[in-house]
Amino acid sequence: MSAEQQTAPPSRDPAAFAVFYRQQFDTVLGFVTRRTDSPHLAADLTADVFLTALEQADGYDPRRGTPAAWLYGIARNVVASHFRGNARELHATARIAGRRMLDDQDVSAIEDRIDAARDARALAARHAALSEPLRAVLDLVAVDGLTVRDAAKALGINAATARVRLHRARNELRKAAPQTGTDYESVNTLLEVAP
Amino acid sequence: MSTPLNFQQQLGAELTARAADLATAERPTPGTPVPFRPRPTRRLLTTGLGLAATVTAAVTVAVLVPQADTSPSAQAPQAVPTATRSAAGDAPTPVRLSTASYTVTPNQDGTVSVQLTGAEWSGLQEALRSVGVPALVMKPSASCHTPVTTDSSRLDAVMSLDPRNGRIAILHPAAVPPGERLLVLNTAPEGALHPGTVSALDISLTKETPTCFPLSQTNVVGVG
Repeated sequence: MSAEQQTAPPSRDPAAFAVFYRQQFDTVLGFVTRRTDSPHLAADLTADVFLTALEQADGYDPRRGTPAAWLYGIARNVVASHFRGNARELHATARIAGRRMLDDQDVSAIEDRIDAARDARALAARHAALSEPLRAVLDLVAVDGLTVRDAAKALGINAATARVRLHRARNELRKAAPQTGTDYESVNTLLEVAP
Repeated sequence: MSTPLNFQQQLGAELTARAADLATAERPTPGTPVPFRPRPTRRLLTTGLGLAATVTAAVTVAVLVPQADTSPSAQAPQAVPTATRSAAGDAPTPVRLSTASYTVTPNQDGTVSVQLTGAEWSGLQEALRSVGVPALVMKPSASCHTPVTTDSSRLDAVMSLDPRNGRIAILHPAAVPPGERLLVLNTAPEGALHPGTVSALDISLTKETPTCFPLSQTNVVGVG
Protein backbone atom coordinates (compact mmCIF):
# COMPACT_ATOMS: atom_id res chain seq x y z
CA MET A 1 0.00 0.00 0.00
CA SER A 2 1.35 3.37 -0.92
CA ALA A 3 1.59 6.05 1.66
CA GLU A 4 -0.12 8.29 -0.85
CA GLN A 5 -3.23 6.16 -0.93
CA GLN A 6 -6.27 7.65 0.70
CA THR A 7 -6.97 5.81 3.89
CA ALA A 8 -9.24 6.09 6.82
CA PRO A 9 -7.57 8.03 9.59
CA PRO A 10 -6.72 6.20 12.79
CA SER A 11 -9.36 6.50 15.45
CA ARG A 12 -10.09 5.02 18.82
CA ASP A 13 -13.64 4.45 17.76
CA PRO A 14 -13.92 0.68 17.39
CA ALA A 15 -15.73 0.74 14.07
CA ALA A 16 -13.47 3.39 12.59
CA PHE A 17 -10.35 1.63 13.78
CA ALA A 18 -11.59 -1.59 12.23
CA VAL A 19 -11.68 0.15 8.84
CA PHE A 20 -8.23 1.62 9.39
CA TYR A 21 -6.94 -1.82 10.38
CA ARG A 22 -8.33 -3.52 7.31
CA GLN A 23 -6.82 -0.92 5.03
CA GLN A 24 -3.42 -0.99 6.67
CA PHE A 25 -3.00 -4.66 7.50
CA ASP A 26 -0.90 -5.44 4.43
CA THR A 27 1.21 -2.35 5.01
CA VAL A 28 2.15 -3.38 8.51
CA LEU A 29 2.62 -7.06 7.82
CA GLY A 30 4.79 -6.17 4.85
CA PHE A 31 6.85 -3.84 7.00
CA VAL A 32 7.57 -6.47 9.62
CA THR A 33 8.21 -9.33 7.19
CA ARG A 34 10.86 -7.18 5.58
CA ARG A 35 12.59 -7.18 8.94
CA THR A 36 12.19 -10.63 10.41
CA ASP A 37 12.26 -14.15 9.06
CA SER A 38 10.11 -15.50 11.87
CA PRO A 39 6.38 -15.70 11.11
CA HIS A 40 5.62 -15.82 14.82
CA LEU A 41 7.60 -12.72 15.58
CA ALA A 42 6.04 -11.06 12.56
CA ALA A 43 2.62 -11.76 14.01
CA ASP A 44 3.61 -10.39 17.42
CA LEU A 45 5.07 -7.24 15.94
CA THR A 46 2.07 -6.72 13.69
CA ALA A 47 -0.16 -6.91 16.73
CA ASP A 48 2.12 -4.52 18.61
CA VAL A 49 2.08 -2.00 15.82
CA PHE A 50 -1.68 -1.91 15.59
CA LEU A 51 -2.16 -1.89 19.34
CA THR A 52 0.21 1.05 19.62
CA ALA A 53 -1.57 2.74 16.76
CA LEU A 54 -4.87 2.27 18.55
CA GLU A 55 -3.55 3.78 21.73
CA GLN A 56 -1.97 6.70 19.93
CA ALA A 57 -4.79 7.25 17.47
CA ASP A 58 -5.95 10.38 19.23
CA GLY A 59 -2.58 11.94 18.55
CA TYR A 60 -2.81 11.59 14.79
CA ASP A 61 -2.59 14.94 13.04
CA PRO A 62 -3.47 14.83 9.33
CA ARG A 63 -1.47 18.01 8.77
CA ARG A 64 1.68 16.08 9.56
CA GLY A 65 1.26 13.26 7.08
CA THR A 66 -0.97 10.56 5.76
CA PRO A 67 -2.29 7.81 8.01
CA ALA A 68 0.10 5.41 6.29
CA ALA A 69 3.12 7.62 6.95
CA TRP A 70 2.01 7.98 10.56
CA LEU A 71 1.67 4.22 10.82
CA TYR A 72 5.09 3.66 9.29
CA GLY A 73 6.52 5.84 12.02
CA ILE A 74 4.86 3.70 14.67
CA ALA A 75 5.89 0.48 12.97
CA ARG A 76 9.47 1.62 12.81
CA ASN A 77 9.50 2.51 16.50
CA VAL A 78 7.91 -0.77 17.51
CA VAL A 79 10.26 -2.90 15.45
CA ALA A 80 13.33 -0.89 16.41
CA SER A 81 12.32 -1.12 20.04
CA HIS A 82 11.94 -4.86 19.76
CA PHE A 83 15.39 -5.33 18.34
CA ARG A 84 16.84 -3.08 21.00
CA GLY A 85 15.44 -5.46 23.54
CA ASN A 86 12.82 -3.30 25.13
CA ALA A 87 9.98 -4.44 23.00
CA ARG A 88 6.48 -4.01 24.17
CA GLU A 89 7.44 -1.37 26.60
CA LEU A 90 6.08 1.34 24.42
CA HIS A 91 2.63 2.47 25.30
CA ALA A 92 0.50 -0.43 24.25
CA THR A 93 -2.30 -0.90 26.72
CA ALA A 94 -1.81 -4.62 27.08
CA ARG A 95 0.03 -6.71 24.61
CA ILE A 96 -1.56 -9.09 22.21
CA ALA A 97 0.37 -12.25 21.49
CA GLY A 98 -0.20 -12.28 17.76
CA ARG A 99 1.58 -15.59 17.38
CA ARG A 100 -1.18 -17.32 19.26
CA MET A 101 -3.65 -16.31 16.62
CA LEU A 102 -1.81 -18.09 13.85
CA ASP A 103 -3.06 -21.30 12.34
CA ASP A 104 -1.02 -23.38 9.94
CA GLN A 105 -2.30 -21.55 6.89
CA ASP A 106 -1.46 -18.22 8.48
CA VAL A 107 2.08 -19.35 9.16
CA SER A 108 2.41 -20.54 5.59
CA ALA A 109 1.06 -17.26 4.23
CA ILE A 110 3.44 -15.19 6.32
CA GLU A 111 6.33 -17.44 5.36
CA ASP A 112 5.48 -16.74 1.73
CA ARG A 113 5.77 -13.05 2.44
CA ILE A 114 9.00 -13.57 4.33
CA ASP A 115 10.42 -15.47 1.38
CA ALA A 116 9.33 -12.75 -1.01
CA ALA A 117 10.95 -10.11 1.16
CA ARG A 118 14.33 -11.84 1.32
CA ASP A 119 16.02 -9.21 -0.84
CA ALA A 120 14.54 -6.40 1.19
CA ARG A 121 15.86 -7.94 4.40
CA ALA A 122 19.26 -8.29 2.83
CA LEU A 123 19.12 -4.60 2.01
CA ALA A 124 18.11 -3.74 5.54
CA ALA A 125 20.94 -5.88 6.91
CA ARG A 126 23.39 -3.93 4.81
CA HIS A 127 22.23 -0.76 6.46
CA ALA A 128 23.13 -1.96 9.93
CA ALA A 129 26.46 -0.16 9.93
CA LEU A 130 24.83 3.21 9.38
CA SER A 131 23.94 5.54 12.18
CA GLU A 132 20.30 5.33 13.20
CA PRO A 133 19.19 8.64 11.66
CA LEU A 134 20.67 7.71 8.30
CA ARG A 135 19.47 4.16 8.46
CA ALA A 136 15.95 5.18 9.35
CA VAL A 137 15.54 7.24 6.20
CA LEU A 138 17.29 4.74 4.00
CA ASP A 139 15.22 1.83 5.27
CA LEU A 140 11.93 3.56 4.67
CA VAL A 141 12.94 4.61 1.17
CA ALA A 142 14.98 1.67 -0.05
CA VAL A 143 13.40 -1.19 1.88
CA ASP A 144 9.82 -0.02 2.21
CA GLY A 145 9.54 2.02 -0.95
CA LEU A 146 8.30 5.23 0.60
CA THR A 147 8.94 8.52 -1.09
CA VAL A 148 11.43 10.75 0.66
CA ARG A 149 8.56 13.02 1.59
CA ASP A 150 6.59 10.23 3.26
CA ALA A 151 9.67 8.86 4.91
CA ALA A 152 10.30 12.30 6.34
CA LYS A 153 6.76 12.47 7.67
CA ALA A 154 7.04 9.01 9.18
CA LEU A 155 10.18 10.12 10.99
CA GLY A 156 8.89 13.54 11.96
CA ILE A 157 11.57 15.41 10.05
CA ASN A 158 11.34 17.73 7.08
CA ALA A 159 11.91 16.51 3.56
CA ALA A 160 15.11 18.48 3.11
CA THR A 161 16.64 16.83 6.14
CA ALA A 162 15.55 13.45 4.86
CA ARG A 163 17.19 14.09 1.51
CA VAL A 164 20.42 15.12 3.16
CA ARG A 165 20.42 12.00 5.30
CA LEU A 166 19.65 9.84 2.32
CA HIS A 167 22.56 11.35 0.45
CA ARG A 168 24.88 10.79 3.38
CA ALA A 169 23.66 7.23 3.79
CA ARG A 170 24.38 6.54 0.19
CA ASN A 171 27.89 7.97 0.47
CA GLU A 172 28.63 5.97 3.58
CA LEU A 173 27.47 2.76 1.97
CA ARG A 174 29.71 3.47 -0.97
CA LYS A 175 32.66 3.90 1.35
CA ALA A 176 31.79 0.79 3.30
CA ALA A 177 31.68 -1.61 0.37
CA PRO A 178 33.02 -1.84 -3.17
CA GLN A 179 30.54 -1.38 -5.95
CA THR A 180 31.00 -4.88 -7.26
CA GLY A 181 28.38 -6.67 -5.27
CA THR A 182 24.87 -7.22 -6.50
CA ASP A 183 23.48 -6.11 -3.17
CA TYR A 184 25.24 -2.82 -3.36
CA GLU A 185 24.04 -2.21 -6.88
CA SER A 186 20.49 -2.89 -5.88
CA VAL A 187 20.79 -0.48 -2.99
CA ASN A 188 22.27 2.10 -5.25
CA THR A 189 19.55 1.64 -7.83
CA LEU A 190 16.87 2.11 -5.25
CA LEU A 191 18.52 5.25 -4.00
CA GLU A 192 18.92 6.61 -7.48
CA VAL A 193 15.24 6.27 -8.22
CA ALA A 194 14.05 7.48 -4.87
CA PRO A 195 12.15 10.73 -5.43
CA MET B 1 0.33 -11.66 -1.99
CA SER B 2 -0.46 -14.30 0.60
CA THR B 3 -2.70 -13.10 3.37
CA PRO B 4 -2.98 -14.85 6.74
CA LEU B 5 -6.73 -14.52 6.79
CA ASN B 6 -7.39 -16.22 10.10
CA PHE B 7 -4.74 -14.12 11.81
CA GLN B 8 -6.04 -10.97 10.17
CA GLN B 9 -9.55 -11.70 11.36
CA GLN B 10 -8.58 -12.63 14.90
CA LEU B 11 -6.29 -9.68 15.37
CA GLY B 12 -8.95 -7.40 13.97
CA ALA B 13 -11.50 -8.75 16.43
CA GLU B 14 -9.10 -8.35 19.32
CA LEU B 15 -8.24 -4.80 18.33
CA THR B 16 -11.89 -3.89 18.07
CA ALA B 17 -12.41 -5.28 21.55
CA ARG B 18 -9.42 -3.33 22.81
CA ALA B 19 -10.80 -0.18 21.25
CA ALA B 20 -14.01 -0.77 23.15
CA ASP B 21 -12.00 -1.35 26.32
CA LEU B 22 -10.19 1.93 25.83
CA ALA B 23 -13.44 3.76 25.40
CA THR B 24 -14.68 2.24 28.63
CA ALA B 25 -11.47 2.83 30.52
CA GLU B 26 -11.27 6.49 29.59
CA ARG B 27 -14.00 7.28 32.08
CA PRO B 28 -13.78 4.63 34.74
CA THR B 29 -15.65 4.72 37.96
CA PRO B 30 -13.01 5.15 40.65
CA GLY B 31 -12.06 1.77 42.01
CA THR B 32 -14.04 -0.11 39.42
CA PRO B 33 -11.83 -2.34 37.32
CA VAL B 34 -12.55 -3.02 33.68
CA PRO B 35 -14.30 -6.35 33.34
CA PHE B 36 -12.14 -9.13 32.06
CA ARG B 37 -13.72 -10.67 29.01
CA PRO B 38 -12.48 -14.08 27.97
CA ARG B 39 -12.10 -14.44 24.24
CA PRO B 40 -11.78 -17.43 21.94
CA THR B 41 -8.06 -16.92 22.08
CA ARG B 42 -6.78 -16.72 25.59
CA ARG B 43 -6.60 -13.19 26.85
CA LEU B 44 -3.02 -12.36 27.52
CA LEU B 45 -1.68 -9.97 29.99
CA THR B 46 1.67 -8.80 29.86
CA THR B 47 4.58 -7.52 30.92
CA GLY B 48 5.50 -4.14 30.41
CA LEU B 49 6.42 -0.99 32.13
CA GLY B 50 8.49 -1.32 35.19
CA LEU B 51 7.59 -0.80 38.71
CA ALA B 52 9.32 2.53 38.80
CA ALA B 53 6.54 4.17 36.88
CA THR B 54 3.97 3.36 39.49
CA VAL B 55 5.76 3.29 42.76
CA THR B 56 5.95 6.45 44.71
CA ALA B 57 7.53 6.79 48.10
CA ALA B 58 8.00 3.36 49.53
CA VAL B 59 9.95 1.98 52.41
CA THR B 60 11.18 -1.53 52.92
CA VAL B 61 9.63 -3.12 55.92
CA ALA B 62 10.31 -6.80 55.52
CA VAL B 63 11.69 -9.46 53.28
CA LEU B 64 9.74 -12.60 52.58
CA VAL B 65 11.68 -15.75 51.96
CA PRO B 66 9.43 -18.63 51.00
CA GLN B 67 10.37 -21.73 52.93
CA ALA B 68 8.41 -24.94 52.94
CA ASP B 69 6.63 -25.71 49.75
CA THR B 70 6.87 -28.81 47.66
CA SER B 71 5.10 -27.41 44.65
CA PRO B 72 6.98 -27.32 41.38
CA SER B 73 7.63 -23.64 41.33
CA ALA B 74 9.02 -23.75 44.82
CA GLN B 75 11.67 -26.21 43.74
CA ALA B 76 13.36 -23.67 41.54
CA PRO B 77 15.84 -21.18 42.91
CA GLN B 78 13.82 -18.49 44.56
CA ALA B 79 13.91 -14.84 43.84
CA VAL B 80 13.26 -12.95 47.02
CA PRO B 81 10.25 -10.71 46.88
CA THR B 82 10.78 -7.48 48.68
CA ALA B 83 7.88 -6.16 50.68
CA THR B 84 7.30 -2.46 50.61
CA ARG B 85 4.67 -0.31 52.18
CA SER B 86 3.31 2.85 50.72
CA ALA B 87 4.14 5.85 52.81
CA ALA B 88 1.14 7.85 51.70
CA GLY B 89 -2.44 7.82 52.93
CA ASP B 90 -4.23 7.44 56.24
CA ALA B 91 -5.81 4.07 55.66
CA PRO B 92 -4.04 0.83 56.49
CA THR B 93 -1.36 0.55 53.90
CA PRO B 94 -1.00 -2.51 51.71
CA VAL B 95 2.23 -4.43 51.53
CA ARG B 96 3.66 -4.76 48.10
CA LEU B 97 5.77 -7.78 47.16
CA SER B 98 8.07 -7.25 44.28
CA THR B 99 11.05 -8.57 42.43
CA ALA B 100 12.57 -7.43 39.18
CA SER B 101 10.06 -9.64 37.38
CA TYR B 102 6.79 -9.03 39.15
CA THR B 103 4.94 -6.93 41.66
CA VAL B 104 2.11 -8.21 43.81
CA THR B 105 0.06 -5.57 45.56
CA PRO B 106 -2.84 -6.38 47.88
CA ASN B 107 -5.52 -3.73 47.65
CA GLN B 108 -7.76 -2.52 50.42
CA ASP B 109 -10.86 -3.86 48.70
CA GLY B 110 -9.54 -7.40 48.94
CA THR B 111 -8.30 -7.61 45.40
CA VAL B 112 -4.68 -8.16 44.46
CA SER B 113 -2.88 -6.33 41.68
CA VAL B 114 -0.23 -8.19 39.74
CA GLN B 115 2.19 -6.63 37.32
CA LEU B 116 4.75 -8.61 35.38
CA THR B 117 7.97 -7.04 34.28
CA GLY B 118 10.18 -10.04 33.60
CA ALA B 119 10.34 -13.78 33.06
CA GLU B 120 11.80 -14.89 36.39
CA TRP B 121 8.69 -15.90 38.28
CA SER B 122 10.20 -17.90 41.12
CA GLY B 123 8.59 -16.85 44.36
CA LEU B 124 5.50 -15.53 42.60
CA GLN B 125 3.37 -18.42 43.79
CA GLU B 126 4.31 -17.82 47.39
CA ALA B 127 3.88 -14.09 47.00
CA LEU B 128 0.36 -14.59 45.69
CA ARG B 129 -0.54 -17.09 48.38
CA SER B 130 0.75 -14.79 51.07
CA VAL B 131 -1.85 -12.24 50.08
CA GLY B 132 -4.71 -14.70 49.84
CA VAL B 133 -4.62 -15.83 46.24
CA PRO B 134 -4.73 -19.64 46.04
CA ALA B 135 -2.30 -19.62 43.18
CA LEU B 136 -0.46 -22.40 41.47
CA VAL B 137 2.29 -20.94 39.33
CA MET B 138 3.83 -23.20 36.73
CA LYS B 139 5.86 -23.26 33.59
CA PRO B 140 4.40 -25.69 31.04
CA SER B 141 6.71 -28.62 30.44
CA ALA B 142 7.23 -30.69 27.31
CA SER B 143 8.02 -33.69 29.46
CA CYS B 144 4.73 -33.46 31.32
CA HIS B 145 2.03 -35.66 29.84
CA THR B 146 -0.65 -35.62 32.50
CA PRO B 147 -3.54 -33.48 31.33
CA VAL B 148 -4.87 -30.90 33.75
CA THR B 149 -8.54 -30.04 33.77
CA THR B 150 -8.90 -26.29 33.74
CA ASP B 151 -11.83 -23.93 33.59
CA SER B 152 -11.66 -20.51 31.98
CA SER B 153 -15.39 -19.83 31.97
CA ARG B 154 -15.42 -17.88 35.22
CA LEU B 155 -12.33 -15.82 34.73
CA ASP B 156 -14.30 -12.65 34.36
CA ALA B 157 -15.15 -12.89 38.06
CA VAL B 158 -11.65 -13.80 39.10
CA MET B 159 -9.58 -11.39 37.07
CA SER B 160 -9.93 -7.98 35.49
CA LEU B 161 -7.62 -5.37 34.08
CA ASP B 162 -6.69 -2.21 35.91
CA PRO B 163 -8.48 0.56 34.01
CA ARG B 164 -5.58 2.91 34.64
CA ASN B 165 -2.90 0.51 33.46
CA GLY B 166 -3.85 -2.38 31.24
CA ARG B 167 -0.62 -4.14 32.11
CA ILE B 168 -1.83 -4.76 35.64
CA ALA B 169 -4.09 -7.70 36.36
CA ILE B 170 -6.47 -7.39 39.27
CA LEU B 171 -7.18 -10.71 40.91
CA HIS B 172 -10.24 -11.29 43.05
CA PRO B 173 -9.33 -14.03 45.53
CA ALA B 174 -12.83 -14.11 46.99
CA ALA B 175 -14.20 -15.12 43.61
CA VAL B 176 -12.09 -18.25 43.43
CA PRO B 177 -14.46 -21.11 44.28
CA PRO B 178 -13.60 -23.01 47.45
CA GLY B 179 -11.24 -25.86 46.79
CA GLU B 180 -10.10 -24.46 43.46
CA ARG B 181 -6.81 -22.92 42.58
CA LEU B 182 -5.84 -20.15 40.27
CA LEU B 183 -3.52 -21.75 37.76
CA VAL B 184 -1.02 -19.19 36.54
CA LEU B 185 1.08 -20.36 33.62
CA ASN B 186 4.23 -18.73 32.37
CA THR B 187 3.87 -19.37 28.66
CA ALA B 188 6.86 -17.37 27.45
CA PRO B 189 8.45 -19.53 24.76
CA GLU B 190 11.73 -21.20 25.63
CA GLY B 191 14.61 -19.45 24.01
CA ALA B 192 12.72 -16.25 23.39
CA LEU B 193 15.14 -13.44 22.73
CA HIS B 194 13.48 -11.27 25.30
CA PRO B 195 11.53 -13.56 27.59
CA GLY B 196 10.87 -10.82 30.06
CA THR B 197 9.10 -8.68 27.57
CA VAL B 198 7.36 -11.26 25.48
CA SER B 199 6.27 -13.61 28.21
CA ALA B 200 2.59 -14.08 28.71
CA LEU B 201 0.35 -14.80 31.61
CA ASP B 202 -2.14 -17.58 31.10
CA ILE B 203 -4.70 -17.90 33.85
CA SER B 204 -7.38 -20.46 34.51
CA LEU B 205 -9.03 -22.21 37.41
CA THR B 206 -8.47 -25.83 38.35
CA LYS B 207 -9.76 -28.19 40.98
CA GLU B 208 -6.64 -30.28 40.69
CA THR B 209 -3.22 -29.93 42.25
CA PRO B 210 -1.00 -30.89 39.37
CA THR B 211 2.70 -31.39 39.79
CA CYS B 212 3.33 -30.23 36.27
CA PHE B 213 1.47 -28.79 33.30
CA PRO B 214 1.90 -30.28 29.83
CA LEU B 215 3.21 -27.94 27.18
CA SER B 216 1.03 -29.80 24.72
CA GLN B 217 -2.02 -28.53 26.55
CA THR B 218 -1.12 -24.93 25.84
CA ASN B 219 -1.13 -23.21 22.52
CA VAL B 220 2.43 -22.08 22.90
CA VAL B 221 4.11 -22.12 19.54
CA GLY B 222 7.65 -21.85 18.34
CA VAL B 223 10.36 -19.53 19.34
CA GLY B 224 10.21 -16.10 17.92
